[in-house]
Amino acid sequence: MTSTRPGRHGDAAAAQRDDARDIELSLRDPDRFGVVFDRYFAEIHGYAAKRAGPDAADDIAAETFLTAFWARRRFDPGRGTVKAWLYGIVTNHLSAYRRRELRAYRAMARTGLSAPEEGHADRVVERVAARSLRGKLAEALAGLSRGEREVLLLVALGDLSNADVAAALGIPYGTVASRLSRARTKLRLVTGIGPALDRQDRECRRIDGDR
Amino acid sequence: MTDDLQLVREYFGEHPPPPPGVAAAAKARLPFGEQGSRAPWRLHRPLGGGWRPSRRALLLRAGLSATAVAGAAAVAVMVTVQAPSPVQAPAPVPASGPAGREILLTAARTVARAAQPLPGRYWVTSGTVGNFLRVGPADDPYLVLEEVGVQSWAARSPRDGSPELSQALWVRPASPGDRAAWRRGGSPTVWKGVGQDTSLAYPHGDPGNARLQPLSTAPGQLTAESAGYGSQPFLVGAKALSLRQLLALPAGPRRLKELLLKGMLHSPPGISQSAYLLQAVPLVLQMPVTPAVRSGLYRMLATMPGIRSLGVVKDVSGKPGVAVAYTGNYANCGNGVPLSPGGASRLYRVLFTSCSVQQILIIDPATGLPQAEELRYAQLPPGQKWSAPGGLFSYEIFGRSYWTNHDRPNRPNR
Repeated sequence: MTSTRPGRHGDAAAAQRDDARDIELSLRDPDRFGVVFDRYFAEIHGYAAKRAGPDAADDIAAETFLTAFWARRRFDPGRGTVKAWLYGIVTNHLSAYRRRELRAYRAMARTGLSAPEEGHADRVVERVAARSLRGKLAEALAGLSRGEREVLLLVALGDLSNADVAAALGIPYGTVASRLSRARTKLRLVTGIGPALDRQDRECRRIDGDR
Repeated sequence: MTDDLQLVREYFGEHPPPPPGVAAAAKARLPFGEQGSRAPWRLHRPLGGGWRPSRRALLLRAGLSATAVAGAAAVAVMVTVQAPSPVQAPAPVPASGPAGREILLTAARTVARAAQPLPGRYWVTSGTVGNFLRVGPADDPYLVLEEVGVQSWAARSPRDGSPELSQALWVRPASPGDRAAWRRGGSPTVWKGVGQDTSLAYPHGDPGNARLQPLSTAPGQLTAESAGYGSQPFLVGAKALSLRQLLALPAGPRRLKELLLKGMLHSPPGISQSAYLLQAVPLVLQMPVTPAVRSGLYRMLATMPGIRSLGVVKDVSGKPGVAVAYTGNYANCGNGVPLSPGGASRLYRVLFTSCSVQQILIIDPATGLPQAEELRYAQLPPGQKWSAPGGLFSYEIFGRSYWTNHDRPNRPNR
């Protein structure tokens, strides 16, 4: 799986058990949630910063953990890891933030000027020159469907496995694989860069074909 | 070989870890030690059901024929849907006039006298957004007008959600001439690819995400998007604020200007402070800020250059009000062109052309509150034709904003 960087596997299972146990303990002892906070705040903040810019990230990351705190009773270790659960929540908050921005600036958007719809990412899109590689990449990213983009960015930036992405977004594993494949194909079409058809792609095609 | 995922990582760059103060502040918001932390009621499961249909098209999605208003009413919990009235777009307005200072200072005095209502459970803000869109064949195009009802519920308690609701109200030809062209075109009820030839029919500024949903006369559904737990549902400048923080806003014009302009980071380059603030101020005026802050916002606008008086005008619903306007010239009015017309590709290229846009804020003289906002082309981008009266391409009629203790509307369907 391209998304899993090496060197993580050793204690991963143990860490996941710790995470789930901390959540469980926090039901009776809310302070225990602080352990989860300390473990993941910087990572979730980092993801939000890449997606929405550092200023917005402060709020989004804070809201994410507030949501997680209130919803911790519903965390189900059988459905995925704590990390995936947090990425799911931050994804919702990124989307909520975008909508809030959209509401706030929708009039601006209606002028036909390039609007802040996607926040940071699209501002980058506007800035880059159309012919450069970054420009092509921006164009490709912008051309993805929202679902494809979420999957791609959780994999590329959040370094989540496909299984974690599925848990985070509450979608089937096969859908993650097919969205990722489509997203990467579009990137390659536009940028001309990327690995040749690999095993994962073939797997995705098969899954797509099954549906 | 360069890995495409690595390319994506490089594209988004690395960010330094958050300063310790940020983590501490976020942690302080967790209600540790609070008893009985039951999960609050909310619209969506935290993990969501995957991606819901995008509402970016808040302004693009549309429903309807006149009859669908009935369908809208069936699920309607939001806007009072008035029967579609003829478009009464007023005549073109002069782009210049006496300074709008007097109108703004009068409004400042009016809002300062209003009582501060006692907070309830939700602060409700509503509006009706109208957009003119160019549709039909290239050789015989016409304009349709869509109206979308929008409503936001901002929860006072962090345990309640703060959903944003929207509902397509109706779509129809904008004028008798447009109706004739619509009939010549076979009276279609669905238009695809709206927004190609129409940057102007693409006034949503979402070129990158150009997944245009067809404009349709199918009845509009109420969509509700939860903004999560909404503990900070009020976006002022660059910051999302809780009610407590909102009520603590400074009332001085200079401080308010400073605060609001922080949000300009998110706005397109080339936009002036006057243009930005003329759009940002009405949104804050519709929040439950103190009368002193409302007054300060108007006094701040009164100091901005280029905001002219239009005197007494009628909004598109025919209601009179007093108006100020600002005209900005823009080098980059986005014009989305599909890379492969008619194909499966959703990739769009954005061509930038120039245009001149007049923003109009209509104020209700009785309350001093924003009544409507209009956007007009004072000068069209080269090669564009526009047939709506006065170059009007988009408007919002603001509804009343108020506190309520009622339960917020639930989603009628998933």
